[in-house]
Amino acid sequence: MYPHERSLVEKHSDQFVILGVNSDRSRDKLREAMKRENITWNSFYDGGGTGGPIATRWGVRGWPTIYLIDAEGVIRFKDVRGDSLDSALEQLLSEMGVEPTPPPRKTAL
Amino acid sequence: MTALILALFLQATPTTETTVLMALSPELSVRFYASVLDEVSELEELHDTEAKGANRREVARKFLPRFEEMATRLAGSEQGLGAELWILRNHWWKRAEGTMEQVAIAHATRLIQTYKDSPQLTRIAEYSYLYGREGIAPLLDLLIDASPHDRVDAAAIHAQASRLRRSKDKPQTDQARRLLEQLRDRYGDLAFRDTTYRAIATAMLSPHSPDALEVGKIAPEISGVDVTGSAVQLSDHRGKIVLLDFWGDW
Repeated sequence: MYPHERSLVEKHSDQFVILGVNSDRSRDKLREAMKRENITWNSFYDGGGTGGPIATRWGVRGWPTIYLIDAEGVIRFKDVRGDSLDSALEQLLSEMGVEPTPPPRKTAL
Repeated sequence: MTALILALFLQATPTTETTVLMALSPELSVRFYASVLDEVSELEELHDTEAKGANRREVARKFLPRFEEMATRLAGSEQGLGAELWILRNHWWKRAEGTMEQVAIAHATRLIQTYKDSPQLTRIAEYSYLYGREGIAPLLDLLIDASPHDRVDAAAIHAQASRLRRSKDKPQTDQARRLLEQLRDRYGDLAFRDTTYRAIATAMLSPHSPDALEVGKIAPEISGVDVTGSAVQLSDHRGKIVLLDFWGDW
């Protein structure tokens, strides 16, 4: 999952950013996880554990939970990943007037 | 000096131990606690490392005899309690009904009665969501009565409130609100992990309504800190598409 998200951020860094809300038990564990998984984006440290203030206010019950928010700050998609994340992001990018990257052409050999 | 205290400690009952610890300066007693739990902490670290990316249940099962040995060998001490708390936490009581739940509650009750002065008893409250449903309220009341520590009381009240606020029953959700207000007002300054009970209780008293978090609604602001402690806000990124990813250990 992370390599895919990383490549999306690299490709569209002017229009797209990932912000984590992390529930690891300590800052050290968060730091280790970011290094280990090569997570290139910033995260809120939610006080250690899944009962932190941010996750509590947002009523998050399952991990991971994802919200996709547009450039105006409006929640547009929830729990999108993989292909559905790609198409959701494409839609939002086109709303911003950004040409979506054409998908790689599958050629028969 | 440390050797003498260590010798005293090793022969001490829980009550004597606490008396010895209280006689030390606060700084010394904090450092002493940290060193006292070394053996248990080391085994916990070992377990956590092996459990990463593996089948947690299998790894826990593999480590259980080692913690049981430690609990028996070190019974009556903070280390022994630490080992017992690991066993309580990792025995997968959750989703178990009937006798397993009763055994868990009996185990937790015994720990409270044996180690009533230990500040580690906060963990009994923290793990209570794993024990099932029925016996939890009386268990948490027992914990509050037995312990002299504010932070144990706070943990128990937090656990009670967390349970009650999920109820469909209005008197129970009303009670949850009262408990959260108590947590915020009386225990607000006490640390809850890396934040305070004030922050947690406030968040629990005012969660965003599910309507506010629907597709089509403006995302509520988030103000927090990152891993370095720097302030971060969701609105810092207005003008860009944001993927908000709730991730990590759970």
